Amino acid sequence: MTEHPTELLLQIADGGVPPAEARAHLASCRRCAQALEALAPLDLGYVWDGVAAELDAPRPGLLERVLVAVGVRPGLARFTASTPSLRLGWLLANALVLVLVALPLALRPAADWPSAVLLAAPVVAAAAVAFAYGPGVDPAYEAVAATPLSPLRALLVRLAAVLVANTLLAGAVDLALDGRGPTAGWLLPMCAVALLAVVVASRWTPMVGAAAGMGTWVLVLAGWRASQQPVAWLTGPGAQLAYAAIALALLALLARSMAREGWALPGGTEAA
Amino acid sequence: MMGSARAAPGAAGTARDRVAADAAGDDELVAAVATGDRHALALLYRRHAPWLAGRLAARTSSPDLAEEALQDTFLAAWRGARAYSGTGEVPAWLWGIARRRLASLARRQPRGSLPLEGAGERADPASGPEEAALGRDASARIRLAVAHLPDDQRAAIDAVVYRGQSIEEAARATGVAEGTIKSRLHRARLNIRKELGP
Repeated sequence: MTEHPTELLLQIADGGVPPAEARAHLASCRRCAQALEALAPLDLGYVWDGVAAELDAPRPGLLERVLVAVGVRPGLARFTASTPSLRLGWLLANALVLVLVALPLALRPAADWPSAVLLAAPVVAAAAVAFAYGPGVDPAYEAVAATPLSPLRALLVRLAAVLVANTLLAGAVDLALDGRGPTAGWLLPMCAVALLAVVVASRWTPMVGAAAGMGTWVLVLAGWRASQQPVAWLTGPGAQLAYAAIALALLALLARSMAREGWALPGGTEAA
Repeated sequence: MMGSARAAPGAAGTARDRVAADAAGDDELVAAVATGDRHALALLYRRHAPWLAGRLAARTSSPDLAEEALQDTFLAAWRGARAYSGTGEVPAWLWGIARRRLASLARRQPRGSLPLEGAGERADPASGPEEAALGRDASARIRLAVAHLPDDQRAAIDAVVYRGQSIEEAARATGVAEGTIKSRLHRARLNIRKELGP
């Protein structure tokens, strides 16, 4: 029978380092391991579970780490970073659309056309925000809906994140491909169209929301071409005021309708 | 206290395991941990967590704080194994991390909660990790300290340490709750420490 280092176990439990010659026995003896666990002043199994859980935890992505670094709460940072339409594929697709619209105009500039970004950014943003949050779009929707984060706030956080990302994209394309220098004339129409898409998506489905936003902007552009108005009709101060007013009205509508519906998006558990 | 139903950390193995021998030296284990070997970390934990736990628990009145420090120690060892020079003793290296973690966790506690205790603290093991190596003299002193324990505490130590019973078996044999055995073991440890002196 192997001799168990009984007094040594008591000493280890009290903080003594086991000598090298006892290691082989301690490593292979179940009885001594059990006694050490029983004697330990801390729950060693629980602590190991914590170590293993930390090692298995997924590493936060770049966006999430940046958000946390600038002071966003970790939960909100993860929620923002997990926006479907902020995934690399979405952003690349958005950039591609912007470039494909901007490239022909950059190659053959036409003075009577507005900047390519004004044409394309609202369309791209409408799709991106419509697919930013909601049942059927976000796999984590049900889980988020069960948290204290109100659906309106969740929606606005995602909306803001997607709009910021698309603003940066559109701005970069504008700077790189539009020879007339940077303009910000596309920002307000982009916001207004995006809000329209969100309002419609929050009442029906993301696809209907995206189609409504895109369709409306295409109709606006068609109307402008048909009426043979100058570019200022689309981008001038009067137009900008109108975009801002529409955006504010849509925001108010969104908040009101969500308050009335019990702060849930259709299709979620609360609305079912 | 230890939940007897928990899986032993040593059982956690992954496909990347390279160090299999329990008899591997500490330096070998740390080198394997540096390559991302989870099993080596589990072995390192099984080997060193018991005494680190005893030491951390003696330094603070808060078991939660000690457990957090212990968890942080092995996470830091996992992440920092590459930086281990291999020249010092692994126990001293681990204790250095554990002590700093405990101190920094204690600083974050609200004022007045006094989670750190100076009393009962023994010689800094970083200066001599072999300090606990048992001589025959220490063994005899511990046996004497156990003999001086109150009956219920001595019975608990006798069952778990000398007869190798689990807490569950010891509880069944004496007809008391498992929690009672655990608290008797706890009090016995404190009494033995008191008798052995600093």
